[in-house]
Amino acid sequence: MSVETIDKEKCNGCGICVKACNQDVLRMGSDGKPVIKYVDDCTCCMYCEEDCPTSAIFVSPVKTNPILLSWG
Amino acid sequence: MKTKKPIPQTIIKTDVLIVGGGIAGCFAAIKAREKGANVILVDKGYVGKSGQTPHTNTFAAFNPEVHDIENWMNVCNTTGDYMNDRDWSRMVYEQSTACWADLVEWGAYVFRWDHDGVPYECVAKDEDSNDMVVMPLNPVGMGTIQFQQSYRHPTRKNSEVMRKQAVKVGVNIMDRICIIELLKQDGKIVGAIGISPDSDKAFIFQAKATVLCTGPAGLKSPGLRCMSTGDSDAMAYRAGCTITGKEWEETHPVRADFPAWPWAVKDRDRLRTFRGEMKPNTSTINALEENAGLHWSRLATHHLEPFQAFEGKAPTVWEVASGMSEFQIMNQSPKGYPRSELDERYAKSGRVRMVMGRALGQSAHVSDGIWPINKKCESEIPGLYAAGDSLGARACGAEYPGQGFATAYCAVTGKISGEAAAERAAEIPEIAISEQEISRAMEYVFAPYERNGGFSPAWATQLMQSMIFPYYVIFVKSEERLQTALQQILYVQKEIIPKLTANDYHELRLAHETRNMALNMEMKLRTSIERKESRGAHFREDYPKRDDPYGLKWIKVKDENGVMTLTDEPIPEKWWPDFNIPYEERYKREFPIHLNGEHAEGRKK
Repeated sequence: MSVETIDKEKCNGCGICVKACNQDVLRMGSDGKPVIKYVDDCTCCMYCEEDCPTSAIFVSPVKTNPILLSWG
Repeated sequence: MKTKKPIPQTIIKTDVLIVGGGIAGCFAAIKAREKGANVILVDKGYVGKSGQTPHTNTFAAFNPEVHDIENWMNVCNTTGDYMNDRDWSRMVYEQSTACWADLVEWGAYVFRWDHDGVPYECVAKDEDSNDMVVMPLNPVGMGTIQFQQSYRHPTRKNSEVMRKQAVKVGVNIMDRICIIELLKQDGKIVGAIGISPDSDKAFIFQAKATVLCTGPAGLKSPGLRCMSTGDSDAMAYRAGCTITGKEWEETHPVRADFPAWPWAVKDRDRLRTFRGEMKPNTSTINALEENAGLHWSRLATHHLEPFQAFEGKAPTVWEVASGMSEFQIMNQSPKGYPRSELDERYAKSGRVRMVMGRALGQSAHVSDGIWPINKKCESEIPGLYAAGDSLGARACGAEYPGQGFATAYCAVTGKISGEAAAERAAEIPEIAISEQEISRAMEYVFAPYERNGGFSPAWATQLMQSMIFPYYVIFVKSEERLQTALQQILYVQKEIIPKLTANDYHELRLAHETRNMALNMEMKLRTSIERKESRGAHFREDYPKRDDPYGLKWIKVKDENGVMTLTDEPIPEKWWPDFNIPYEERYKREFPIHLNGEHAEGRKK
């Protein structure tokens, strides 16, 4: 249950997905393409996939719960 | 990386600060600006893409030429089990058309109401083909209650329209800034402090009036599509405001086989299906999420049984049959993912199984929030206003009246609060924030970041989800289970929240969201314990009926010297139901126990 892949070949670096991600999971990388930085915080809203103009993003619809550790 | 250097501060002065950029926030910002105020609109996401706004697709615009206000009021009063403030309900309806007209004028997409002798349809422009297509605008299936009409529109596009309009009128939009704490001086709110994941500094907003519009208070349940961390309610509570409406539960469903998958408008293919292929069908029951009055009593009338959950079965909410126009949307699975065996069997018989739990932890749409002291959306603390889901105006009572009400409510209260905030800003002289208040706020905001080691915010959130989400806590409530959950949340509040740690500003936001969610959950559990009856979207197994007149009160939550204190606000008698009407007639929708008492009775033995 989270954003899984960003196809760097398809991605045109527009950055719309970073804006669309309310949870701040995606960030622009140094190569001008987005990176999945905080995958545990993805709530599966799929806005990034929905808004991507080149269909470069895939969000898994499968239910899984990340194993989180209590210590920060 | 953490720095031990002093954190730089940017101080930004404005007349009006709007926190949150959904429908309410955008309306507030635009209307305050039109009144001549300097306006800053901040959002922790991106205005035009964040908020609950993109998720909705109807707008209940009351049109006096074709609609009967008394019918609409009747829907609201009865669906809300007589818990609505009728002055507010009426105000929302009456002002909804003007807000709708604003949206259209700003370039809102789709939606031309075409009465044209064909009820419940609207004409829309297809985004991709640019063709005009007819979309069904189904009546809300409300049992014996009068139908309601509303507009349907793709709000994701309209979020962008509102952003454009805000920019056009000169609103200063600041994206990706998360407001953490209100700033108070001499008993007044004088602004707020926030952080951004993109820069290592504090943003201090000095404002003559602040409007909170950050939306509902949930627990980040998957597939919800909005942030829902209750920041406004928590910030206002800490500042000394009264909060109300926490006991009414949000009951939207998810697909049984893909519970984390946000069904409906998910991608362009589905959007096209939604727009193009659906044929107008006025006889269908609306099974989309804007369906009305999704409370327990309604579920019972759908021959569905919440006590199934106690047998280890999903509490089914809907079985969407193939005859319904929404079946096409509901029946689509994510590409390449097979259904479960059970749901495959359902599909073969032309049904889709939907279960409880889309927005777990939230209160019913626009039913909770900050208590207003007047019809200007003003809170008890001068300088602080609220709108949309953050405003506890009780316009919709104990359950959501359906189809587009929340959208209209957000627009109307956004407009009212924005105008009121601008008026205040024009009246009062320059304000200043003391060094003392700024340093207090700085310490509060950055404590998790400065802490060396501690609990992970994401873990604490997950922990609370597992305390609150189970069916036996918030769907089928009972005294002992609520008390148990409360003790757990209190432990989190006492022992974990003060020791949350953040390695960067992303996690710092999470730490504060977690703190806010914990506070909101405490309010939810305490009010649920306090309300010893069932009503609307609050179902108590141990008190399975409405209790008149005991229940005809709003429960208010307020901090009194560090103690969460609950008080009752009686509902004016003029708004009570007629007690001469027998109970079964007075409340036509029954709670499950009435129809199927043996389940509940059997369980107690």
